[in-house]
Amino acid sequence: MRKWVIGCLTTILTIIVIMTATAWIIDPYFHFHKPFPFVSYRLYDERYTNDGISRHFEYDTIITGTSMAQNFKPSEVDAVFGVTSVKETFSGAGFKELSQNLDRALARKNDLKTVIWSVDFNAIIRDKDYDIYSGYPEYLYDDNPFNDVCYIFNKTVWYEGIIPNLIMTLLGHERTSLDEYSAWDKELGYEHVMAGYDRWEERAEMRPGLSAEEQKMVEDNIRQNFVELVNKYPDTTFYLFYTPYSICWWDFMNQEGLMLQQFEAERITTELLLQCPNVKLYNFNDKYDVITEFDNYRDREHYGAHINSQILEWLAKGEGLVTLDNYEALLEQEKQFYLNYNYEEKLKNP
Amino acid sequence: MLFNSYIFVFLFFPLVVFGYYAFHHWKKPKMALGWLLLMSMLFYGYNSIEYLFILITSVILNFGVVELMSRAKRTALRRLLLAAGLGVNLGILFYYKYYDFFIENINAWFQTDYTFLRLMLPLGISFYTFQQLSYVIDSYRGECEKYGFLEYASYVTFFPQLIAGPIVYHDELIWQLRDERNHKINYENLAKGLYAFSLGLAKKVLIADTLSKIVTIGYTDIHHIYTITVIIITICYSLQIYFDFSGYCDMAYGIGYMFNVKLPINFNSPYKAVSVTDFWDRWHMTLTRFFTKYVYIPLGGSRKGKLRTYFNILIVFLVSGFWHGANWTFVLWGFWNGAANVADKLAGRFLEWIPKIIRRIGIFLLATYAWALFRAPSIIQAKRMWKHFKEFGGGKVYPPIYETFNNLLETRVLYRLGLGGIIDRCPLLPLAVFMLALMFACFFLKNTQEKVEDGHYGRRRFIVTIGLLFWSVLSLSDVSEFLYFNF
Repeated sequence: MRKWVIGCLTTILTIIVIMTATAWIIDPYFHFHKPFPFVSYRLYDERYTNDGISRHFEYDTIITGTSMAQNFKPSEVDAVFGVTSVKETFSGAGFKELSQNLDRALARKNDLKTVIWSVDFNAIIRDKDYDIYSGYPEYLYDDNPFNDVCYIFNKTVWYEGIIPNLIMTLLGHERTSLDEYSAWDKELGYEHVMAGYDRWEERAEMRPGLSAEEQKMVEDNIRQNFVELVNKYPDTTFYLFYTPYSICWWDFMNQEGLMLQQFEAERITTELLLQCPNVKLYNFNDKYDVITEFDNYRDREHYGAHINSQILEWLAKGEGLVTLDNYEALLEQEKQFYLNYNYEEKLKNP
Repeated sequence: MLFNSYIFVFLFFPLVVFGYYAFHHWKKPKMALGWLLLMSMLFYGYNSIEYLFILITSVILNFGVVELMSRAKRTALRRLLLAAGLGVNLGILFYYKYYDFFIENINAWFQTDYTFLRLMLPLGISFYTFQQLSYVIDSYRGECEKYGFLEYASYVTFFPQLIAGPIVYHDELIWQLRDERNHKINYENLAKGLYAFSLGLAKKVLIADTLSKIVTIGYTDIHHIYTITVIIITICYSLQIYFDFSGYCDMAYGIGYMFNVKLPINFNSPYKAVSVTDFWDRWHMTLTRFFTKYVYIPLGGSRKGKLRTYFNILIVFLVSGFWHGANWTFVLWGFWNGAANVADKLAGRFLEWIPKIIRRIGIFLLATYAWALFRAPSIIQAKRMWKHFKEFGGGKVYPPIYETFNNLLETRVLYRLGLGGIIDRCPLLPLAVFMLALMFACFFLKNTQEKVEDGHYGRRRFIVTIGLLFWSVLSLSDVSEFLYFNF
């Protein structure tokens, strides 16, 4: 029995040492160190990876947002803006999650020059703490070395991270580039857009605007998640843009009677953001040729990767820039267009 | 602290064992016991210092009462001290566990508006209260030798059994801690302990926690489930509570072994039972024996005629139900079990002609039905579940049930290993196979105590021990609490 017990304990210790060493070297989520040149990394799960990118990558620009930002290519951002960028997107995230991630990154990196951030246009009228994601790997987000045990001895991390990286490294496969990281390439077009759109046949009565409570909700949402963060880091320039959704989304808002509420929320948001000197706010809702072309979209909201490239060019050129001088006129023009648009005709004859 | 946590497995437990034997090696038995006591308190207070304060108070009060009792000459005074001891223990238990339940019912019946305390239930309070009750009663009866405070406190707080049993009696544990033969490392016991701990950890982490995900979906989305899903959920819960509690008992048993302490068996393959009485002789055995010794026998047991016996059985099960929780569901569950026990006694040998396997399945179904009451957060919810059981709903299974199971890492591995086609065609298959395998294990396989005591500690057992240990540890990142912590 003595031999059996000592054998067991020795094996347990050996496995612990080997697992710890392997996890430390491969470090699939860049928690311990910056990527080693000899390891092929499979960048996969955003919520496990992004904080590691913030900690250990070399960059001066962060691209962030939800799925609306996933198809941005850091290589294009680097070329257009002359920066070194990383992409940290969070699928389905609320503003708070994005804001907190940026706050952690900015607190560690004082020399961060630029943030490019997609502001989900459909998420403005929401509670400031909106979050649908639970089960965060918190051990990756803090600086407590003791809970790293949850990272090293975690079957999901091994199955999704360490083992694939090991295999890729041994087989000599290329690592996932930041351009590919979390990007998606799905078919676009009318059929796909309409497949997920259950249109109300009868149009709902247009609601007049936001209630006082809803106005406060929008204000709190923007203040907590944007204004406070932006004011905290005055030396960083924040390129924020309202995500340009397809005409189908506008039709949905029209059918549901939510259009005026959205315009009012947009006004509140714009006025709050324009008070921040280090924010460059963009609105592409007047890019009608893009918005009314179904071939640019996968569904009501999601545009294809070529639109992400297009957005980068607009940002660099200053096209669509909203200022204190032009925001009223832009909003009025937007209202006139989307309130009077012939949606029936467009949906019938795309 | 949980047994199934990184801190326990990697730091706490190795440290306690090392320190315990190191002090004994240096011939410092009191230091060894003190170390055990200190670490047990750390184990208990890890999540809440407040709980620790309650535990320490309870230990000091009970020890004090018994000390006074041992000095008291007059019977009346001893009786008074017994009453004080019972009052202290039951008072603390009532205050933390039952006060709000009574207030809720008084408010409902008498239209009053008394305020609730809304206290968090201190972990394991029902367990250590019962252990100390036995100490006070045995001392009063003169069935208890005198212990030092360090011994007594180490016994009550002995961490392997502190928060979810087994309910160990003082005369079972303290002599084992005293016995000098137990102060040296015993490799046979270490091997047995390690093996039992691995099996227990796997039962808890790999089986019970997986089932818990399925059960939670059923109870959360109760409006979407019908007959077949209700059956799946109910059986899953029956298996969950079995593997949860059995896993905990195995771990406690294994840890005890590693200190050369043999804890009483608490769980003896209850789903192999062929009658209701047999079931209760196998499920939570130390609770059953506690109620037998301190409630059933003082009530007269079976000595006062059949009718009185049945009455006593019903009382014991009602008390047992109430011990499990301050909710009418537990009372009803206790009544159901008491009634089933009486029916079993009434049937006598009449049922013995039925083949054992049929009886075994029958007992499993009876218990499973009772567990549905046990799991329901309220009587209304239990009724709702029953109502949904009667609605066939086209025979459909609620998809999130099997989707969750098929999304488990282990099932995804099967998928990648080439079984994807079969799983796609029959998405319920993996869960069904899992459930059937578990039922087979419950009905036919040897239990942990049998395995630990028999068999050869060779290569196969070595691989099983190490394999299960690491598989479980790697699965700890999404832990859930033990069901029996709440009692």
